[in-house]
Amino acid sequence: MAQPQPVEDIQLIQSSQKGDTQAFGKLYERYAPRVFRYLYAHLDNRLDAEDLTEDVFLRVWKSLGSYQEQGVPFLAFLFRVARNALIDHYRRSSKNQADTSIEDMQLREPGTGPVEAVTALLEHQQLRTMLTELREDYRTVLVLRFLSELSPEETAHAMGRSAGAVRVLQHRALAALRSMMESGPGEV
Amino acid sequence: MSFDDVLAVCLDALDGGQGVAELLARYPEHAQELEPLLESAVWFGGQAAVVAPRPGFVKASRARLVEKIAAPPAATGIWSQLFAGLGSGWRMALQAAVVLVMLACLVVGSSGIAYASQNALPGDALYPVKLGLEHVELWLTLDPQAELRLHLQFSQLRITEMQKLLALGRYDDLGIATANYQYHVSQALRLLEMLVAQYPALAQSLTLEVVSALNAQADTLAVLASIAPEEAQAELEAAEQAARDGVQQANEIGQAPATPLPTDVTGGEAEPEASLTPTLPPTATVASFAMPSATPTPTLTLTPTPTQTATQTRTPTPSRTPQQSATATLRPNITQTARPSGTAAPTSTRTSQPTPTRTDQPTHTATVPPTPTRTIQPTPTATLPPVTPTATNIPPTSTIPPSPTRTPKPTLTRAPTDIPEPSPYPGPGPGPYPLLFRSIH
Repeated sequence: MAQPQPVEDIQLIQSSQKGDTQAFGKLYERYAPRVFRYLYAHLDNRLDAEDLTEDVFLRVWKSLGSYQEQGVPFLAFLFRVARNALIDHYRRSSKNQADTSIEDMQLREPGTGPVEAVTALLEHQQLRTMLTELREDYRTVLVLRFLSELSPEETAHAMGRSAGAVRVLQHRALAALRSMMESGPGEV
Repeated sequence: MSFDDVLAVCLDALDGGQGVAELLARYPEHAQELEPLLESAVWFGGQAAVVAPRPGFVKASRARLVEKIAAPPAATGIWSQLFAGLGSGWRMALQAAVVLVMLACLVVGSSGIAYASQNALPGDALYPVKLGLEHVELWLTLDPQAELRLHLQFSQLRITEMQKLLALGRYDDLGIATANYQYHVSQALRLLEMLVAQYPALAQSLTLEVVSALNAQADTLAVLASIAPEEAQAELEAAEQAARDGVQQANEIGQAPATPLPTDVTGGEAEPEASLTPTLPPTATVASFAMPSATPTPTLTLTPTPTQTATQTRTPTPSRTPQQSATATLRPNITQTARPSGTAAPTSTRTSQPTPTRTDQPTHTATVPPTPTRTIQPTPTATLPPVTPTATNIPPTSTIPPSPTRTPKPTLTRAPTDIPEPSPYPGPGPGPYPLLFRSIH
């Protein structure tokens, strides 16, 4: 089922393309949480995810002129940019990966108390551990579909695959996830 | 219809609010195969909360983003900035020098020395290389906001180094780390002041960022000081003091832009100034920034109650020292950091502060922000295991009804002991992911 682009989105995109920063701000407010979830599911550090979210939208702003809504939904366009930004980030920071110490936790989970920070980090680390055990395309399809709430069509566009392929992929990814939940990492 | 299609339809239906049982009943022939997949999908969808942005992030970053894109598109990347102004005298020379340094950094950065220096500690031969690279990074960072964050990041690195030095018993080298820590804190404050002056709209978010980072660092340093031997105490306490002073200064900087307005409006008597000063000193303001996202508003309304008791319980802060001998490495970490969580409450007080201060007498402001943070600290630190301390805390507050609701807080203090066991979510124990089935069942 292809989801039509919301009318309001189209107007916001068109205004943004004409340089209306406030319209782009509205788009940001609408979609930043989804982009953030996508990025944070792939990163260990919340602050990195925050910086990268802003970076993604800056990139989108710069390339908005070349975006045409026919064919590619805005969300798919947005997540393609997010994916590229993530790849660039990996390249940049692969050598700077540091291990987590308890002292870092509050810095990484800014604005939280120590207990909340620790719990949030444990949950996040568990999710990250599991995702890294999955194949890259499984991970991407799961994150896009269930964390960033993209439709199968938007996911297909964002991943550069057909909707049919995404349907098969999500089936396999869910099966892999299930078997990992039952048997533990390293089995998939 | 293939199974993939059925699954896709079911997943759409789940999005639409239908339950797993309902869908299994609709496709009984696929029920067995569908059930585990749909359960996994439901569980995984529930993980969205784990990777959700912190409250307030989107709004704050939206403002930043809009400001960035509204600014003239002049300097986008380092290279374009470097070459943008080529051709004009000293600036050209400076830019050429920057290019040379960057090239040098590329060479050095890719070498083993630079890599090895990343693990160097104060007193090591390679430590100056590490600091040098940090300076280069700072120098090449043209965006003041990014530079500020770098200073915070480096200050955090210094604390990690102090911790390692402590573990190695190299107390004599602590001084180097402390001095450098103080430098980064002061630089971060300098940049904060500059940014707040230039972009008043960013004042709150930037101040919050600096304050929460420094608060966390101060707490960590306090914990380190509490477990460190005497000969290491002085340096750690100096660093902690720098962090605490930094928090206060950052709060003052963050509040600064609001001050000019009332003086102009009132007609410029000495009085309004007097009313402003009282608001700044209390430590409560510090707390107000530290906590906002952590605890929701309900807690905020409760905090004022402890205010009266605050002064009494405040003194127990020394309870840190008793712990020194008793507790091992991990415990204090958590007990100490419990501080900020108490601080959370004031968030609301912070926003409300400015208005009363200007119009009313200073007395008002004094009552609003007082240091509830401190009241909470003692409870965790002093008596970790027993719940009884809470009981002793409540009687003083007995005049005010909400105090019973406050009692849950002690659960926070217990957390340290709980930390190794991830969290008490119900669900099947087997398997390596105890949290997994939380949302399925």
